[in-house]
Order: sequence, then C-alpha cells, then structure tokens
Amino acid sequence: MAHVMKLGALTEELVTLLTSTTVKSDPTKFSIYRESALRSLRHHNYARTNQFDVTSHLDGLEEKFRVYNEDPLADALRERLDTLERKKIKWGAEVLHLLIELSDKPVSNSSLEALDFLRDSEPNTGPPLQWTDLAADDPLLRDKIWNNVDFGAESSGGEDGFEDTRSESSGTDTTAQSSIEDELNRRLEEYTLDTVDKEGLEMLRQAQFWKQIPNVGGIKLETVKKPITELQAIREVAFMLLGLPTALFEIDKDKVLPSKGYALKHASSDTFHKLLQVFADNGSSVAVLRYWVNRSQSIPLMQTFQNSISERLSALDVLLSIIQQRLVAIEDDVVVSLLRVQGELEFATRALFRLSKIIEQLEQERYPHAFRYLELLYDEACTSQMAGDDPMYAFMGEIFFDCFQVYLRPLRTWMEDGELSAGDNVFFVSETSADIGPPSIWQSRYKIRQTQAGVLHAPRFLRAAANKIFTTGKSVVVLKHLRKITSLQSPNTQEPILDFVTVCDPSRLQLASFPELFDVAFDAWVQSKHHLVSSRLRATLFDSCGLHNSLDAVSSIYFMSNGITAATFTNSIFDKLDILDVSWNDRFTLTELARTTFGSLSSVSPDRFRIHLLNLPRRIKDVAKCRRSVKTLAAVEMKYNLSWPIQIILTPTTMSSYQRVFTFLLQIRRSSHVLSRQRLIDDVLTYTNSSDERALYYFMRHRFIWFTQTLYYYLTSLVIEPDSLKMQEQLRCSEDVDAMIEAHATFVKSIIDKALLGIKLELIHKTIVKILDMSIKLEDAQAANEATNKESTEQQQGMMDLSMVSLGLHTPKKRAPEKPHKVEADSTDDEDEEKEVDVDLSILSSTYENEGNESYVEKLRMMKADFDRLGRFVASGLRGVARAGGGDATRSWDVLGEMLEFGFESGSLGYR
Amino acid sequence: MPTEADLKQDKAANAVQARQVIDLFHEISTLLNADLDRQTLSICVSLIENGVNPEALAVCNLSFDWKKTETVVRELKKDAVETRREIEERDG
Repeated sequence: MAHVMKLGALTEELVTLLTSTTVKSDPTKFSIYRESALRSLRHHNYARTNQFDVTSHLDGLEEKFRVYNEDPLADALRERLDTLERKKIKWGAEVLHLLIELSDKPVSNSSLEALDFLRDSEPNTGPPLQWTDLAADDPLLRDKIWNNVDFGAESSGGEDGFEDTRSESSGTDTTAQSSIEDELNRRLEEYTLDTVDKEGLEMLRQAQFWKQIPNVGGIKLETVKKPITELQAIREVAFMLLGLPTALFEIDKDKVLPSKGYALKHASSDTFHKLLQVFADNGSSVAVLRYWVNRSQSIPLMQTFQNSISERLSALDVLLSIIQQRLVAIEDDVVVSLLRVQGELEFATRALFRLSKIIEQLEQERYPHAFRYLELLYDEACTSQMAGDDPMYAFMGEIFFDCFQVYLRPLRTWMEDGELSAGDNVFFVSETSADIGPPSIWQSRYKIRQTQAGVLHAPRFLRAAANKIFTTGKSVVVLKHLRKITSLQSPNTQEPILDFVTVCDPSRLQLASFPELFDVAFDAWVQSKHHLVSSRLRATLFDSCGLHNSLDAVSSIYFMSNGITAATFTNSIFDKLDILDVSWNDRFTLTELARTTFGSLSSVSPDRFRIHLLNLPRRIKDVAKCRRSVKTLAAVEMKYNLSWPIQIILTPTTMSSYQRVFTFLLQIRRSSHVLSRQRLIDDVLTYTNSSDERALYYFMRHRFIWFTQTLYYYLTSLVIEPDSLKMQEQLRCSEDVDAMIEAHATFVKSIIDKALLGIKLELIHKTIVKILDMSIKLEDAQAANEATNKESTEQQQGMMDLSMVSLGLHTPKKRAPEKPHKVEADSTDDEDEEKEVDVDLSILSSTYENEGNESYVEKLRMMKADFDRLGRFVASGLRGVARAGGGDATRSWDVLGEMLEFGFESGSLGYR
Repeated sequence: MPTEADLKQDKAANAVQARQVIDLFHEISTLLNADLDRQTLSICVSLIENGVNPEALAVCNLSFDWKKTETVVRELKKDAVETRREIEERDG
C-alpha cells in the first residue's frame, strides 16, 4: 500500500507540474487528471524497456547528428552517455527510454546553447555560503585563537584557562569532515576533574612554616625567631644534606650556614644553633663533593674517582631517606630527635668530610697529576689505620683500590702486550715518537717519564716497582719483535686480585701496616707478569739468539783467546809494518785478512767483520814513523756486528771497552813479536863488537821479553780468564735481562780497570807503552848496529881482498853476499802457508835520521837506564795504588806490581 | 552501529550523487530536445524507480500535455464564442 500511496503522491505532483493545477485550485479537474494519469500509468500494455534498443537508438541518433554535421552535439551526447555508463545507474536505461520517447526532433531543434543555459543556472541552486559553514570546515576559524589571552588569569587554584575551548566547541555542530577534533576536545574535558581542595591548600600553607610570621595576639613580630618543630628541623637537615635548597640553611658560595631566624620551642637557641652549625659543616663538605662530582672529567682515572664519590654520596642519600622514612611512614614508635639523626649520620658525614678535604687539596695544588688523589687516598688509609679507625680505614681503602684498578689498566696492557696507548699522560712509560729500529728498543725507544724535578711520574708507593714494570714491558716488546710471543695471557695463571678485602683482610691482617700489605700485594702482582716474560726472554737470548756464541766470538776476537789465529792476524800486520809496506793500514786488506783468519773460528761469522781504521795524524802518516811506536796500532779497530737482541746485553759502550783491551794486547804482541823475531842461531864473537855490547844487548832483550811476557800473562790469565768465567756464570744464574746486562757491564768495567786502562792508571799505562816503544827501538838499534858492522866488515874484507889481490894472494870467494844471510831473520821454515817474509832489518837503519850519532853501546846503556827507571816507576806506582784503594782491581794491581817489582829488583842486582 | 555523522555523511554523499545524476539526465534530455524541466524529470525518475513503465509515462506526459490542450481548448472556446457572436449579429 505504501507503494501505491507513493505512486499516488508522485502522480499528483506530476499532474500539478504539468497542468499547473493543484488540489486546492481546481479540485475537480485535478482529480480527473489524476485519475486518468493513474489509469494510464497502471494499465498499459507496453513492454519492458529493452536497454539494447535504447543504446542502439542513441547510437543511431548520435550518428545522425554527425551525418547532419552537428558534431558538437554528437560529442556532447556521447560524453553524457559515457558518463552515465560509468555511473551505472540502476534505472538508467528506463530513464533514457523515457527521454527518447519524449524527444522531439533533436536533430533540428536541440542546440548546445541550451546546455550552456543549464550550466549557468546551476550556481543559484546551492544554498548560500554562511560563516558557520566556513567555521565548520576550518578549525582555525572555529577556535577563538585570535582572542587575546588573559595571562594574568593563571593561578594554581583557578580553572579559567580551559573556558575558551569549552565554550567554543559547543557552538559547532556541523556535518563537516573535521568534526573529529570536536570529539577529542569534548573528550578531554570530560577527563578534567574538579579538584579544588580547599583543606589541602590550607594544610600546605600551614606547613610552609617559613612564610608564617609569628604573631602574638594578631600583632606580627618580625624580629622574634620563628618556632619550628623538631620534625620540621630534621626534614630541613635531610633536605640540605641531599643538596636541595632549604629555609633553615643558607648557601654562601660553597659553605652552608645555618640561618638564624628559627628556634626550637623546647631548646635554647644557642644549643640549637650549635647543632645546626655541625650540620652545616657537614653540609658544606657534602656540597663540595656534589659540586665536584658534577664536573666533567676527561681522564678515566678522575672519572673513577668521581664515580666512587658519587657512589658514597648515593649511599648517604639512601641513609637519609631511610631516616626520613622511619619518621614519615611510621611503623613502630619513634622518637623524633635531631641528635639521634646526627648520630646516625656521623660516620658517613665524617668520611665524606675527609673526602672533601682531599678534593680541596687537589684543587689547591697547581697542576696536580691525575694520580695525586691516589697518593692522598693512600695516605689517608695509612693514617686512619694507624689511628685505629677501622671503619674509616676500610672506607678509604675501598675507594683507593677501586680507583687503583683503573690505574692498573695501562700497566697491565704494557706488561702483557708491550703496548702503550697514545696520549696517555698518566702512565709513567712513554714512547719516543721517532721511528727507532730494533737495536735501540731496549735503550732508547721507551722512556720512563719524569717530572721536571727528576722525580718519577708515578705515585709514591709505586716507585720501587717501576723499573721492574718498565723492563717487563720492554721484554715483551723485544719478544714480539723476535716473534717469540703472541700473547702473554696464559689460561692457567691468573693475576692476583688487588682488592681491599684480599689485600688487607681485616680479620687476619689487621695488625699489618697498610704500606707493607700493599707493597707485598703489588709486588706479587708485578711478579706474576714479570717472571714469565723475563724467563722467556732469557731463554730466547741464550738459545735462539746464540748469546754464548756471540760471547765466544767476541772474546776470541777482542781478547785473542785463540792464539794461533790471533798470531796469524797480528804477525802479518807487523811484518807489513816492518818492511815498510804502505798498505799496512789499508782497510780492505785488513778486513780481508781478519775475515780469513778469525773467520775460521766456529763461533765467528766472517760476514760480521769490519775493520775500521782511524785517521792518523799527518805527522806520523809516514809508515816508517808509524812502525816506530806501538801507539799507532791503536788506529786499528775491529768492529764485529752483533745481532740486535744480543746488543741489548753487549751494549755498544762495552764494545768500545773491548776495543781498548784489544789495542793494548795488540801493542804488547807487537813488541814481543819484534823482540822474538830474531832467532839467534849463533852469534860469533867478531872483532867488531865487544862483549860489552852484546852482553848488554842480550841482557836488555831478555829483560824486555820478560817484561812483555809478564804483562801478557797478567792480562790474559790473571785478568781476562777468571773474569770471563765469572761473567758466564753470572749470566747463567741471572733471573732476568737486567741482571744479565748488569753482569756484563760489571765484567767489562772490571776488565778495564784491571787491565790498567782505567782513568786512575792512565800514567802507568802510558809508561808501559813507552817501554814497549823502547823495545822496538832496541831492536832497531841492534839491527842498525848489525848493519853497520856488516858494512864495516865488508869494507874491511874488501880492503883485505884488495890487499890480498895487490899482494898477489889467492882471493877467496866473496862471502859478502852470504853474510847477510846469517843475520837475517830465519822465520821462514815454520809457517807453511805464510808467505816468506824476509825482513831485512838493515834497511831500517836509514830511518833514524834524527838520532844522534852515538855509539851503539851508549844507546844501549841509555836504554837500560830508561828501562829501569820506567819499570820501577810502573811497579811502585802499581803497588802504591793498590795500597791506596780498595776493590777488586787493586788486588790484581798488587799482583802485577809485585811481579814487576821482583823482576826489577832482581835485575838491578844483575848487570850494572 | 553507524554513527550519526556517518549517516549524515552518507546522505550528503548520496545527495550529491543524485544531483549529479539528475544534472546528467537533464543535459541529455536537453540534447534530445525532450522539453523537460528539472522538477518534472526528477519526478519522472522517481516514478520510474518505483516501477512505472517509461513508455506509459511518456505517453502520459505527452498526452497529458494539458497546458497545450488547455490553450487549444481556450482558443477554441474563444473562437466558438466569437463565432456565436458573429452568428447572433448576422441573425439579429
């Protein structure tokens, strides 16, 4: 029925429109029309709409438009139809059918202008735009943002601030899309509660005692102290210690002072004030600590200290909150007492007071090291232990060890890995920035940092162990270079723990003093790392680097321990000198010679050899002059390169000492060589030389030989040999590398001293060298003498021959050429491989131009006198020095002096 | 349950949609020279949506073009009146 009713209503409307009659205006006609319309609408025989017909009809119409040259119409129609198809209207086909039926010659009648008319009329159909519509769309327009805000209306009690939005949002009631914000606003306001609590406010105002001015009977008294309860006082104290501003205490820069305006009702103001003063002092120290803790520090050591202090401060905070909790959340009966609070806080505040003193001291010192506070903590621990204050001792000790752990970190990396972190100024080992090769790792690459005063840059209590730490790290570096070690951390050994509880175990070690305990513990810690490293390094040096070999090589070269090879080497030099061969000091020849001779020894590797010749002064460049003195032999320097790990022990300075000993031995050898060159097979008394000369000569020669032999014997058997053995023994027994270096250094020093090469005995040494020179002179003189004798004999022989010839007698064969054979040195038979060097000493006679034309005997006599004089001087000098000083060397000097004295004494009894 | 706003939104959307469709039909009817004004068209669409056959409706529309018939009838009546007057004048 509703359908019918609707239909009826619609029909009425249609009729109204079409006939412009309404129900009211012309009822009869209206009803007639309506009835007929309904009848026609209901009872009809028309078929249902065929939409394909419709579409084809419309397509045909469109084509008709185009044919009739009405393209715009056709396009417009097409467009509308397409839009319609897109929209998929339910009754679209039917409506189109209706329109088709109603259409009246569209080709001729319709025009596009009609469409324009349609479009123009449209804007008028919409409702006029209103401000409320705009406001609905745009929230900015809605809220009264643009109103002036009343800033003065903010108060804790008022709720005025929310009125605006509340009133505004209720005004909008639109269908705009942004209505969600409305919802939100509304919801927020639902959540606000009306909490104007008058009583609470009143209580709060009561509790703010500092605002209340005491009044008596309504009259305000400004000067009287405000009374406060003890509970309030405790609370104020607690807040002050927590670092919060309070009314009872005033903060003046770093100090906290009690304010004088308050009093307790039941105590006198003086007592109260004194109590407050105590609290204020504590508060000052706590405030200092709090302030210092908040400063930023960059060095980790300082940061740990800050951390420890802040831990202690938070412990204090916890204590304070426990106290407050006891008073606020009351479980048992509690007495409110300021003194009790003081007692409870006593230890904590005292400890913090000491810490703040440390901080103050740190602040006062100019440029303190980062570890200065470690020293101060150490001192504090010591003093508190000695004072018997065990809790304070434990307190300080714990802080000390916590911070010390951080200090140990660079130590640990240094000792285990040999690494330093760059830019670390706290640790006392520093690396030089230059690139230094392996040989000088030990000596110069790493340095111990020292302050300008020469004091070690480390805490006082570590100074004893500093060297050990230093060498451990260096050993690790050396081992790393030798690739003998990758990491020191072996899983079995664990370093001893350095902790207050472990080190200063209160139950067992209460009576031991803190410095001792600490030293012991730290030593153990260092040792745990040091021992492994140094023993490994020692073993490495001995085994793979061949320390023994090197020592053998050095001694065989410099000390000429293998006499045969040494003799081969030295004799060839001496022979060259004697035949005035200029190439005696040619570097390459000498190096070659050294390599072939010394290189034949097993421990010597010839590649390492190098002979370095010093430049001789020009006046003795001439080889003839060279050979006259043994001093020139000092120009020959042997250089044997050792591998760099060995050089750690056999340092270059000791090598120079070796060189000096070598020179001395060489010089002695020279003189003995010269003296023993001449093998006297027979010496026939001829008329040219008297028994005087010969006896003197032989005497001198004998003395010289004795002298040089004694000296050589002393040097080799009494000095070098025993000392070397001792040194080898010590090296074997030494625990670490430093001990080895020490052993070797002392060995070299003692050798130098005993070998008369020290500074004290310089004069004696020079004298000995003079004596050695004299031996050469003797031999030269003797040779010269022989030469002259030979000449004169030849002359005489020649004259005799002449006279014989003139007399007509038989002249024997000239034996002159044969004679020189007699006096020639017969040194050719022995050596197979050596070149036969026939040295004719007779040529040397011509070199002595400056010598006076004294007779041979005179020369000998002079030489003897000189020899006696010098020899005695040497002997007595040695005895005197030995008597004067103490030490190892003096004993040897004494021995040598005695030997020489004996010789000279007995000699004086000999020939005049 | 759809909220008021949603329903309103739907209605609004529908209204807009419907208006657009009516506009479209009106344009097509103009192009086809159907001589329908908007209101009539909307009522016709409503009738069709309710199941009325469009041919019948068209016939109804055309045949009940009362305005034309009315004017024709009025004119005829006027003519008749004039003719009667003329006849009366001639006779009398």
